[in-house]
Amino acid sequence: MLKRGSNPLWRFPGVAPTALIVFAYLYLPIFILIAYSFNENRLATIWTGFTFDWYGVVLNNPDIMRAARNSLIVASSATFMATLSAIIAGLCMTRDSFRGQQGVNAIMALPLIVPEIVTAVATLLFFVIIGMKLGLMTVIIAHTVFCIPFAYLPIRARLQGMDPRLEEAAADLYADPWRTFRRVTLPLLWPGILSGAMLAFIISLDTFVITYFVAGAGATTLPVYIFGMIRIGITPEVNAVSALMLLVSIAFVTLSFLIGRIQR
Amino acid sequence: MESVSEAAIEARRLTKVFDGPGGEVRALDNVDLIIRKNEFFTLLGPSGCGKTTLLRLVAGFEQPSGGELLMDGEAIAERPPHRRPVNTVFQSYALFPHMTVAENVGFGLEMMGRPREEIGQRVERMLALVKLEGMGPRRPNQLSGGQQQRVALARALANQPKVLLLDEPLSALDFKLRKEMQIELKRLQSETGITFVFVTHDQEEALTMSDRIAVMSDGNVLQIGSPTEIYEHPTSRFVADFIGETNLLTGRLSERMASSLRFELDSGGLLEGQEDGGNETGARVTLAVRPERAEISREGSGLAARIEQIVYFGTDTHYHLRLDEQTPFVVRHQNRSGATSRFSQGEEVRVTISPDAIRVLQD
Ligand SMILES: Nc1ncnc2c1ncn2[C@@H]1O[C@H](COP(=O)(O)OP(=O)(O)O)[C@@H](O)[C@H]1O
Ligand SMILES: [Mg+2]
Repeated sequence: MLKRGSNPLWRFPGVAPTALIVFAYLYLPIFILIAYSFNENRLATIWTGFTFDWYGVVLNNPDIMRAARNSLIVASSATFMATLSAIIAGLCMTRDSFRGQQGVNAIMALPLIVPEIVTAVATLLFFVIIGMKLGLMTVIIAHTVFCIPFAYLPIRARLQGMDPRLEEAAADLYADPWRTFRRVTLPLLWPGILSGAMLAFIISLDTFVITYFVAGAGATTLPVYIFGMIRIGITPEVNAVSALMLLVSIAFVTLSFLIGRIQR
Repeated sequence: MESVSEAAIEARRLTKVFDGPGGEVRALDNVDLIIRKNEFFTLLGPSGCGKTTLLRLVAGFEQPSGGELLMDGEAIAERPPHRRPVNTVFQSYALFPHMTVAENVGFGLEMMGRPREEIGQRVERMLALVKLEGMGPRRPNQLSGGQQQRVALARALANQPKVLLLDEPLSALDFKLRKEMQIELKRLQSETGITFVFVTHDQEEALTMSDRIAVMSDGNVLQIGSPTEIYEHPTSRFVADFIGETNLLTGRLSERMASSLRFELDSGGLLEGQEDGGNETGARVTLAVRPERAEISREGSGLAARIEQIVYFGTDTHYHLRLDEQTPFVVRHQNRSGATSRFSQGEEVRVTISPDAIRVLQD
């Protein structure tokens, strides 16, 4: 897998051990988390035996299931709206040139730089000022806005890499603007949309700080619920929920990867 | 003047200005031209002279900054590209990568709402026409450059447009394939009767394929005419220089005689010619002489010259001469069977030019 000698970096001593340490640092905790989700013992730190029980407990806990449902509703809605906005923004930004375009691009990318806590406080203030009641809706709106730049980047990259002659060729062959979009632009843009949506979905599923601030009663998502559980103590239940979330993420990434392969 | 019904495309004082980062670029500057129905019309000129811009205006991808553009006598500047009876073969082919070859070729017909069976049949016929039978199910990226080029051609021709625009379609092909495609295109044009507007920067390609050529430079059309007219009677220094090799001589129209004129050259000596190019007696003129229209000999009455270099080309030999310090002159001599060069480097010779071979340039 790693071909020694093909990359001059390998010639430095200690590169391979360092790489191993970094990987261990990144993934060992996750492996331990998953392993302990199968631990029989109520105390998460002492291993006594293997069991699937905690998954059963999780799936039978109505609060966790409600939080999971909320997370999926929020992530799906936010992904849909953020991706749609990102597509429209991408088309405007690459198909036309106008004054201040650079500025608009910078503003689009700004949420990536602004500390999440600032966004969270600002969003909360905004909802309070306009008098909107905190709930699932406010979470969806906040996530949508937060996810737009993540969806936008791959879509714009794909649009910029697209040969503008292809759309001209479609128009030249009597396709009106809508059919040019449907038959040429959209199919070619598809891989970008897919990775944009995937990013948005995972970001939304995972975002804690913003959600914590703008979620009202009954709008608790999984990360917020897990945070609440941890305050009581780390239990195998927490491990099991986390492992399930990881599973969903991996499934989602694999799926979009496979769809991307078929598209090509 | 051509009557309106003969003109497929007419440009009147057509101008296109781009706002580049370094200021305005005048890609087309008051271009007047008429492209007749059913002709093979070529736009010829060096890179950057505005050929592509003119095609893009006709196709509707760009809007003119000034002037008029007529198709079949109708102003079309307002019409979007998908409502113009024109198809384009792009320089980069622009085949749809996510469609098969057959889907690419049938795209235009599909957009026009033709029935499925008809599209299938037409696609088959088009692929046969460009010698790509059986390639329908393939993807464009599975084809060679030459094959992609022919798919692009088939895709444009399938719609039987009134006008076909071709933007340097052969420039990416290797020499042999290019020669084949030149003949093929010419055949397709005369068989279908579609008006071809062909863009090239290759003067030989233009001369061999076209009914008429417009020579462009810097956003202007300098001369329009048949290949023979353009080659034999260039009106400007640029055209004379750009099309084929040419010798330029400067001098003065010194004398008018009963049936001919006499030019006094700056390099010394007199030349007898037939046309005055609209100049008064005594006016300064630039003369153009094709290398194959001049002869050299050891003695006689021609212009005095010295042989600087002799280059052997197989079919012919080029003699690089100098009339004086500032004036080079090339004579091309066709080699007859077995004859070796009769002259040697450094030799003093005489150049004779027949009066009908002398062109007086406008500028
Ligand atoms: N979209 C554009 N923006 C700015 N300048 C352009 C644009 N398109 C063409 N030009 C300029 O117009 C001139 C003519 O270009 P073009 O028509 O492509 O030339 P040709 O096809 O003869 O090589 C060039 O100087 C080119 O740089
Ligand atoms: Mg060009």
